[in-house]
Amino acid sequence: MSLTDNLGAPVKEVFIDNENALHRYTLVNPAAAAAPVTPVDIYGVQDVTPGAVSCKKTFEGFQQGGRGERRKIMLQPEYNVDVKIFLKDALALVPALLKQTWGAGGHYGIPLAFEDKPLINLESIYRLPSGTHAGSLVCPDLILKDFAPNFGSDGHITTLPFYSKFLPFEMKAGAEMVYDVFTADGSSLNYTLSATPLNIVDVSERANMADLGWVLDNAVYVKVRAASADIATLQTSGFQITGTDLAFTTAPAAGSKIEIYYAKATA
Amino acid sequence: MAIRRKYSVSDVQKVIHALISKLISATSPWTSWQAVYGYPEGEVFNFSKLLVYVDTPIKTGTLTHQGGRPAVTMEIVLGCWNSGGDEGTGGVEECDIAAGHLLDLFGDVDVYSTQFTVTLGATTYTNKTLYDHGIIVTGSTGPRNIPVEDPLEYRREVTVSLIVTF
Repeated sequence: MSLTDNLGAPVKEVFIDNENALHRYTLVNPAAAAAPVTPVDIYGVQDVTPGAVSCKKTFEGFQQGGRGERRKIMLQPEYNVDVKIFLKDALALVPALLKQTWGAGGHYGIPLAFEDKPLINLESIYRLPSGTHAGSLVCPDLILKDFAPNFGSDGHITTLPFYSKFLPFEMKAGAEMVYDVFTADGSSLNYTLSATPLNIVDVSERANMADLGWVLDNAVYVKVRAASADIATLQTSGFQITGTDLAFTTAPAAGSKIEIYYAKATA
Repeated sequence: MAIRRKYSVSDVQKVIHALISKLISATSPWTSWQAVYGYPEGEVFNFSKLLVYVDTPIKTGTLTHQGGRPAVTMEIVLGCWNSGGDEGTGGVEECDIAAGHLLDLFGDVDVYSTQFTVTLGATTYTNKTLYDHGIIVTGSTGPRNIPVEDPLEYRREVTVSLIVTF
């Protein structure tokens, strides 16, 4: 590398157009267990903008009497994700996220107030104009804060404001997310994943960023959700993943759901 | 990265012409037309098929990054010319259909799925796509109506915007 280096022109792969993005989600805690849960494409998206991660608790530690570098310990991360979407598509998406069906056999109205619980895992996929996967942004466990449709001059586009307590991450080309959900029978210790999890950079490689929930280097999260419970329990010990085998040391209770979110190589 | 920086005008023109020619050789309704490299010249035209001509591209700007050379944005005019008199077939509708096909071709990712063969300099690139050549389509506009002298002659022009990488 020289001070006088003259770089070449940007390569064609850097130019990614709007239509080359694809957004899809898997419902957290779907009505039926499935391995894998089939992702659902989102129509009408104009823009997905994750905000910077901020931590609700930070501590700065340094030793009295020394001159060590100051280091900040950050806990309880949160970030916002604004999804700008055509109003018509938002009016279809919001009930879907709440597992509601409009019309016959379903409901005809939904109050615009939302519980503070994860609704979806969002996967924003970037592709080259040729269709080749260029990489993805993954926002797990998104919680919908509120939804206020606007009828202004640009009323055909509205914003769905999500936030998450689970760090977003970017993913390499050729990899995609998998969400497997199993129903525990109360005795089985082993569950077979639908694909082999890829390694993801985990907290052990980010020394001062503890307590992010990433307890393994090949799964974003493993949760066990008691039957009919809204809130699941993140598993931090008592299980391991070897290949496609998810093995617990103690069998999860019968009727509870086992949820695992991980990345696999695209076939 | 087939396009050569110093030959970018003619290389881009050849690549687009080869793409159109491939469609015309194999895909209906393109097979009803014929491709012409450059602006069609002649005192008297006598052609039985509608002409799709690929005019000279124009550099319209650059896309830079810090530390080096830029990519180039270009516009290229693609014309449809239906001959007058008894020679033309389909009349104004045929001309508009051709223009519509050009607009749609360069308005969709399908433009990258057609493989074609082109020779740039001394190198022949066999069965490559527009994207293989480092050309990205950013839009198409038109068609503009081009006035003609013969009352039964019809011309339309479509402008295609490109990013050319090297």
